[in-house]
Amino acid sequence: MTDATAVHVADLGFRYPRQRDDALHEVSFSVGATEWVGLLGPNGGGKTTLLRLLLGQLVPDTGSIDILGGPPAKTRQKIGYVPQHTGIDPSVPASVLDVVLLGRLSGSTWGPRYSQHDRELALAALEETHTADLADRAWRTLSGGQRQRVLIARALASRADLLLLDEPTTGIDIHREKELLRLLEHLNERLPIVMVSHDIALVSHHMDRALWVDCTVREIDARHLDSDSLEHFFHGERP
Amino acid sequence: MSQFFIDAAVNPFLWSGLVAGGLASVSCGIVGPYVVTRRLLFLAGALAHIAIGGVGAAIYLSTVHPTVFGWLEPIHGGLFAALVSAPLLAVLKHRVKERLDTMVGALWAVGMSVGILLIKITPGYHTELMSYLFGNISFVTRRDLIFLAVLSAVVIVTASLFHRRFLALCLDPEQAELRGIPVLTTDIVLFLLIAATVIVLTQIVGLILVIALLSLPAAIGARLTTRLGPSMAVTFVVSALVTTLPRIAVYGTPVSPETAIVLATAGLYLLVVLRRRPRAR
Repeated sequence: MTDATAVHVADLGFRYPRQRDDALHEVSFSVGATEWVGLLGPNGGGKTTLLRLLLGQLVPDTGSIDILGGPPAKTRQKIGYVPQHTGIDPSVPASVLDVVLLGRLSGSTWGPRYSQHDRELALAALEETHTADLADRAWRTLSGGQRQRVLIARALASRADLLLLDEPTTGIDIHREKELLRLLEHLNERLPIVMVSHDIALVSHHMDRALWVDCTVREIDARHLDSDSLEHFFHGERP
Repeated sequence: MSQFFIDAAVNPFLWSGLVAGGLASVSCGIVGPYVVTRRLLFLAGALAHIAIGGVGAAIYLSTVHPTVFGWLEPIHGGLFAALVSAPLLAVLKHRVKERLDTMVGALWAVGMSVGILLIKITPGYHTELMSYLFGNISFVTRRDLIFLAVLSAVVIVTASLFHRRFLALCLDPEQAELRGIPVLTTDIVLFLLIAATVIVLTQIVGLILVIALLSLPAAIGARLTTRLGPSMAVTFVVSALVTTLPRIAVYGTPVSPETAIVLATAGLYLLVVLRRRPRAR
């Protein structure tokens, strides 16, 4: 792994308990420090499992993962993760700022209030994602597109060195999607991004590289992607 | 109602009941919103009913072995049972993926059954069990008040220390874990606080009705506010009102104060639910 590599995965294998087949098998790939890489693949192909391994929520059976210079368990606080479905309960009385401040949590968080420095970082992240005007709004009142932007702000508030996004454009309209992608392009000028997506056109248009995840991982040319070129991947056999 | 204040001049128990309500409102205001937003009401109900096992054990031991356990009050047994079962329930919540409700329901029933069995085999007739089941706000002693004050202080200090961690668990446990918060350990602390609060509220409305006071004021707070801090303040005020005014209102009538407290809280909740939620900003 070089200094210009944000993610390096080598010979990764993982099988869920009480399952007969590997969820991921002999997976190897790297993500450069300035890249925007798409993860494509069929449902159940292992994309979410791969994300959870990168986040250190799962531990590989074989192989190794190096993220930002260390194993995920040690470096995951440098990862800004934006899930497809937020676990935030809309009935919880919380403002947008409360949600973004979660990005400032750490193992040494004690006491009832965030520091002024934490609040400034959270507000700066909202500013960068053009959602500063939402800071005092109740989380439950936001639209899907606004929520995705705020979750990206939360990732930025954590001073992330890598963004992992799981289908961030799902369920938002085309106008909001374009805004979101412009924001991600802007962030990619300083951050590597790994993003799960089912949208071939989006991957082809915006990303440097794409990886096809279906138990194993294969590199595909993102610039010339279309549904025909992916057809043979769908019929590819698992190892 | 005026009779209450006339009698209060000569009956200190009436004032101590009000003070007990105030102390319970502090715990209720802090812990209730965590319970409601983290959706732990069923587990809190289990804690309350498992505590009955401890109450039964304390009554049995202090009656059958008075030389060793003569000092033991039923509430001590309840607190012990609740504090011991709190970590167990937290671990079950995290480790058991299926049929959690069945397992918790079983613990709930076993705790209660053990309590009833122990009281049944304890010689004599024990009216104090009824106090712990249905509350006895009319006879709160000075010793009870000190016990409540200590528990309330523990709740305030612990919640102050852990508030941001608890808030993170209420909002997004996955994010909390990714940010380095030990979710299970934090939940164990939260469950211990819930156990302490259940015991505090037992003095007011009894173990059977404790869930009403733990949930309804917090549910009212959640509906009227958009942030957890203000929600706690509203919960405290509502709890203080419902543990005070209904008790004074039904004084001298056949209606028990504990029942009046719970019915008034439920009525207030209904009013808030029926009222259109203000457009959140």
